[in-house]
Amino acid sequence: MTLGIVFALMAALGWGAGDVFARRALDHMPSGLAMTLAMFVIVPTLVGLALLVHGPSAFTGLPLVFYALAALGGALGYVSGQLLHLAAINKAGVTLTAPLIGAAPLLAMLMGVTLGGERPNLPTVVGAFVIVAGVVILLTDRRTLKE
Amino acid sequence: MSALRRWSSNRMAMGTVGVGILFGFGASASYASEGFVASQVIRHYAPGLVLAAHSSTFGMGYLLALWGRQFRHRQSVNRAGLFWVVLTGLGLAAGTSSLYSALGEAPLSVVAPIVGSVPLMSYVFVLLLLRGQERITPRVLMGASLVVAGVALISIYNA
Repeated sequence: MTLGIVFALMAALGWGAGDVFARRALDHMPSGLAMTLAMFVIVPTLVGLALLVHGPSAFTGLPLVFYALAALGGALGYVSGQLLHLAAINKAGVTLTAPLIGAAPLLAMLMGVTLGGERPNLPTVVGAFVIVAGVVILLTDRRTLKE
Repeated sequence: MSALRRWSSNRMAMGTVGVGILFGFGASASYASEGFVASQVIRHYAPGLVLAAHSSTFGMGYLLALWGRQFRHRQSVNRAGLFWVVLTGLGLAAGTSSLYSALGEAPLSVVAPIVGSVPLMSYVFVLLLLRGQERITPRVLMGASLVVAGVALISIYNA
């Protein structure tokens, strides 16, 4: 359990730092180029870790539908997701963008309700209202918006 | 006249930030959709780290197809830019691989609220590296904290 918490903290630290490093990189190049170059670090790292943890089976014997879904995930995560993410950081800064991205579970919940026919429980609805309140507070901070 | 110029420049700055906010919502929607796809794959076909390796490879292929021309035209990239890009890549790869490792060691109800604190972690790095470029007002800190609290609430009760 402790190791899990340490890894979770490392994940938050990695993404939190990644946002700010990206902001500095965007001072020197456009977002598309920055993301493409960053992929030369991301892909070998993730492929290497997958090989280390799962061995060659990580890349063999996978069904065709897996590849189709991985291709869809790559488009959503790295093309529309990361490119829009970096463009948002470039235009609105890390301070505003990070919480907006952090609110993704709210959108996931809305997708579950509208597309998946799910019925959210009370804590989920309360959590959604808390997120919306936080986003409204962020988006009405005139001092940050004017910068 | 100067008041008019100031008003006009304020409107332009708010317009740029507004576009950035729209991009942010777009990115958030993309990540949410990716998460939905990933949850289906992990449940039925392969472990998370295997999916992350394949998805990132596909992602790199798409980005090279879109931005490969930049490399052919040898757009100059200075050392400082390259330094920050490498750190960005390492940060994002560390985030992704750590999340999947965490899920292998602890339940989602423990992992998700901690990972949901990304905005607050970002603010620590903003204070360290973007001092003078970005400002964290008390109102922004309160808004981000509410977002983190809401995400934690949803994560804990749905894990």
